[in-house]
Amino acid sequence: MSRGALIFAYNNDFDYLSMADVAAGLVKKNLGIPTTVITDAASLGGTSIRYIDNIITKESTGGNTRSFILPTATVTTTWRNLNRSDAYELSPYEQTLMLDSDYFTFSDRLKHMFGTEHEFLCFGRVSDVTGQDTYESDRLIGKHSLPMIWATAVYFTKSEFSKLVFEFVKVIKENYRYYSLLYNFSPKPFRNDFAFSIALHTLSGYATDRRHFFPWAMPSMTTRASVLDYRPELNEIVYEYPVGGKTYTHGVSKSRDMDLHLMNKLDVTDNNLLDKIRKYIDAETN
Amino acid sequence: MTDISTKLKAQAEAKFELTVARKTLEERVEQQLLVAYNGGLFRASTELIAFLSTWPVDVLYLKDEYNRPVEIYRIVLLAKLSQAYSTVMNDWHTEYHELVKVRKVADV
Repeated sequence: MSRGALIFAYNNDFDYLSMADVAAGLVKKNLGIPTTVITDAASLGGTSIRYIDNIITKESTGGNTRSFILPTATVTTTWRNLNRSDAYELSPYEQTLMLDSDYFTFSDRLKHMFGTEHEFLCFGRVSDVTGQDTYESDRLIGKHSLPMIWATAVYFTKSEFSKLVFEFVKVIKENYRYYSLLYNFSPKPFRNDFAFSIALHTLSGYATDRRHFFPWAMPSMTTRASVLDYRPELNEIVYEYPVGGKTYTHGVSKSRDMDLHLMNKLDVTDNNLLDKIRKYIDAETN
Repeated sequence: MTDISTKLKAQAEAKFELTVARKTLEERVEQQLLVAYNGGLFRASTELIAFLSTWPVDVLYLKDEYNRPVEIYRIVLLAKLSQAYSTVMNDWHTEYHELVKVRKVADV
């Protein structure tokens, strides 16, 4: 059975493809599998590729406008995330780990999900590594309190169940306004997390089936936190975060050997940071 | 700000930072204690290791993290769990003591 990672990376104001390339390097090093990236010609034009094994060029259809609240600025940009539902057809692998380009696998934890009997897995819980419980409000969707899952990292096999999930996500995407009214959430921007949550909940028999969840919470660093340093020799990220949602005081913490969803795109596309991570990748792959 | 209020603020902030760092470390430890075996996922807990050490039969069915019965070879799973447990606990002990001996995480 072929195994690999799949990342969608379309550049906007941020260089998603460079992020995806480093994410692919981490996948190769820590999970031992190749990575296919779905991108477009415009993104490919300005980025040098070092670690991605396979590139599929596919123009993105449409886009959302989304504001990222970063420590130094609020960046409003086009968020080209609308073709995630095509992952089932696009993946060249029998067993696929679909990742956001800003989800960095600093550990081998997700490797253990390959070869299990699971057909579809995602994160049902998220852990805020700044200790602020920022994602508490994302635990449930809308007035009817549908449990939210995270499409940041999704494991799926080429199976009837997974195919149905992706087909349903397409239906939800095409009729997003209807589903937003049905479940009572904002119709804009389109969120893959919401579409996958509705699809998985419905196809699990209108229930939350924890057998579709990775058995730990997804470690995530909010857009309001800043990466101060990455230490390649320790595989450790040092980061700073505003305490209590304010900016008058900051805490510093660190994370070692642990996967991280790094949401501050300004920091994650910083070449100094990416170079340090490349140093870590190259230290063991070469 | 007076001396005492500066000290109080510094103490509260340092304590907050250390709590966040300890919690992050604990999350990682919980992840690392998971062991994949024969299509199942098992947590290297002291209870499971003790159970496997004393169970008199070599092949048995065991409930995994997803509540599925998985056929296991007792000695093989016991070895995997024991190794994971030792490695993870040793690392945790080392990093935990690095943390508690400093006032600020940035000093580690």
